[in-house]
Amino acid sequence: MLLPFINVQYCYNYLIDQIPVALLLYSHIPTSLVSLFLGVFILYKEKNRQSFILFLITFLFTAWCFLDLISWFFFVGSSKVMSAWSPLDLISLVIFFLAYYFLYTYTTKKDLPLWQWLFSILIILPTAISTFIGSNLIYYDSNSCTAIEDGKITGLLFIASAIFTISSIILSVFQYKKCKDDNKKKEILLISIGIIIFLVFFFSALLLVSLFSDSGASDYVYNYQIYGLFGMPLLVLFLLYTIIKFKAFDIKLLGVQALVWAQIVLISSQFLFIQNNVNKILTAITLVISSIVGLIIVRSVKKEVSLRESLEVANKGQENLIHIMNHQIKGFFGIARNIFAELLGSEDYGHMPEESKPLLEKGLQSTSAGVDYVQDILKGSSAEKGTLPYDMKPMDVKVMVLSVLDEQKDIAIKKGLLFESNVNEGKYDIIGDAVQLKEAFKNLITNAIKYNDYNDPNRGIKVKLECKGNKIIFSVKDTGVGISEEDKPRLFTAGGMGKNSMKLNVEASGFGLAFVKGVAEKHNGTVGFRPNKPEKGTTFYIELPATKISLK
Amino acid sequence: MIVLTSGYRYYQYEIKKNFIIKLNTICDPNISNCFTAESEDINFGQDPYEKVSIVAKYAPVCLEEHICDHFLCPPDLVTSKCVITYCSEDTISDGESCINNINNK
Repeated sequence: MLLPFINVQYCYNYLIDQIPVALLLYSHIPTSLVSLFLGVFILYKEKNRQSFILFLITFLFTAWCFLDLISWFFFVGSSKVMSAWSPLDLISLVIFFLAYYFLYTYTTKKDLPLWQWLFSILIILPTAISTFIGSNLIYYDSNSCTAIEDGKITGLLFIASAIFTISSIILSVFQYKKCKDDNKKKEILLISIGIIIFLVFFFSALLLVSLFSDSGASDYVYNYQIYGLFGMPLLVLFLLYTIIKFKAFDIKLLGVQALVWAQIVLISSQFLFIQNNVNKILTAITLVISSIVGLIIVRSVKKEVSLRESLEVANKGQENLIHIMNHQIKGFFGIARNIFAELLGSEDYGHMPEESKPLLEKGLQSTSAGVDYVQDILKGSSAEKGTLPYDMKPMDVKVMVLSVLDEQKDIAIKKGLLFESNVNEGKYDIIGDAVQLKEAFKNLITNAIKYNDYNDPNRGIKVKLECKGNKIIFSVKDTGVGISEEDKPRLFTAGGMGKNSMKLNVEASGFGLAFVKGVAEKHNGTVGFRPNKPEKGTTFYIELPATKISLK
Repeated sequence: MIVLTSGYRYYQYEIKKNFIIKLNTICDPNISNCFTAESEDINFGQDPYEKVSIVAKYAPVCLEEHICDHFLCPPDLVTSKCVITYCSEDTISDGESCINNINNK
């Protein structure tokens, strides 16, 4: 296969002594083609800055692999080796820069600031100049058929690449810690690991090998360089996973498509080192069959995904309709409630007969309950979906809880419940939405009031606020009938109601605890419950992480 | 920038052949002071040998193939473009030794 390219037999003999040619081809060609394919595919599907930078990385990596392969094939002659070897350092350094640039734009969604642009150009400039004037390669050693690099210039390249690699690591850690959204954090982590693995592989193989070859530490050190190329398939894997799991780029790439294409490329690449004609034919048959089967599988999976997406759209439409209806109903109830309130409270419409007042009061009570009911559904549904608006500010949970206790204590006592509260000393400062948190805490207390066992003479509620380590725990203990096993899974879901709660309170919306859960999670907390065994009843609790801020 | 640099370098190396080639080539100890080394890592299969440094433009094909017999620098070439280094106390490196004590120009 290589015969037509052999210009210097001495160098060909020298090469095959060093390293199997098949390994050279396998490490350079499939890795670069797979990455280039991905880069082109992403750019074709989504044209933005990030996809363009990614395309540039894969394109330059492919160019680097192509030139590196020529520089390995010494038998092509000294002038071609020198021509191919010369730009390798510059291309690799630009790849390092682009990797950092990609990571920056991906995690911050912004372009590099001007000072970073200038700094990067400053770092790249010495390598660019030395490559242009040819001082990076001192001479061609015809004994070993290799170009000899200037150690000082290679050292500068080492430092520049290290700066970009370390900057990428620092940037990833900083952006990961800064991000509040759990899903986004995982996405940043995956992309960062992929980029950094690629850089570290590439860096350690390229530059450390150059340094070792200068020191004469080992024979044939350049052989180890090829293992550095396998960082790129790892980056491709991380990118594919991020695209499929987090829709990192807005392309409908199915995992199965990626697998099928990867399979086709890997089987095809075997042709690079198969010598035997029988093996070539068998490999060709394997390739054809697996390609056909793979493409059939892709088509059927695509169909299923398309069906699922249509269903999701239909569901979304229905959800929106229900939401709009609820808003409308709330509006109508609100108007009716205001009319009853006006008739009862205002003299503007004349004096209401005494006999009509109980009816008007009943009307007011009923419409108010209607408004609250619909409001519960809307809030619970929004909180569960994460669409409830929050106004996050520094706040003192203790102050808020004391206000809730103040409001709810009289209601509980009027209902004949024993009411105990215990607020421990501690730091209760957090960043949170005081309004939504107050509603959530209030919800647990009103539930304890509603679902208590009114046949029990010792019925009551115990509310506690305490600080444990770096957690703030708000708990409400009741003497109710408890939660059955079958109701437990649905308790915090929108519309989920226990059988007992339906018996005790037919007007329950089933969205209260879903709302509480949504609010707690928005504040990076949790909500839960536990039976009060051996006593009766249940304790519901909200745990929030304490923030290291002081409101004073 | 990369395209410009690569293009210019290609022109210098491939077209103008403006770079230095260094190699060991066969040396006749009857005529010159030759290097000798026991390790193939040093002599690269040429023993005894002399060291040649030449601008690629002026290098004959037999040099890269390591089959040149009695290579001499072209007489009209200046020393910066072609140099043959013979073995002496000043030119010897680790692992090498000289054979013969013929005084060469």
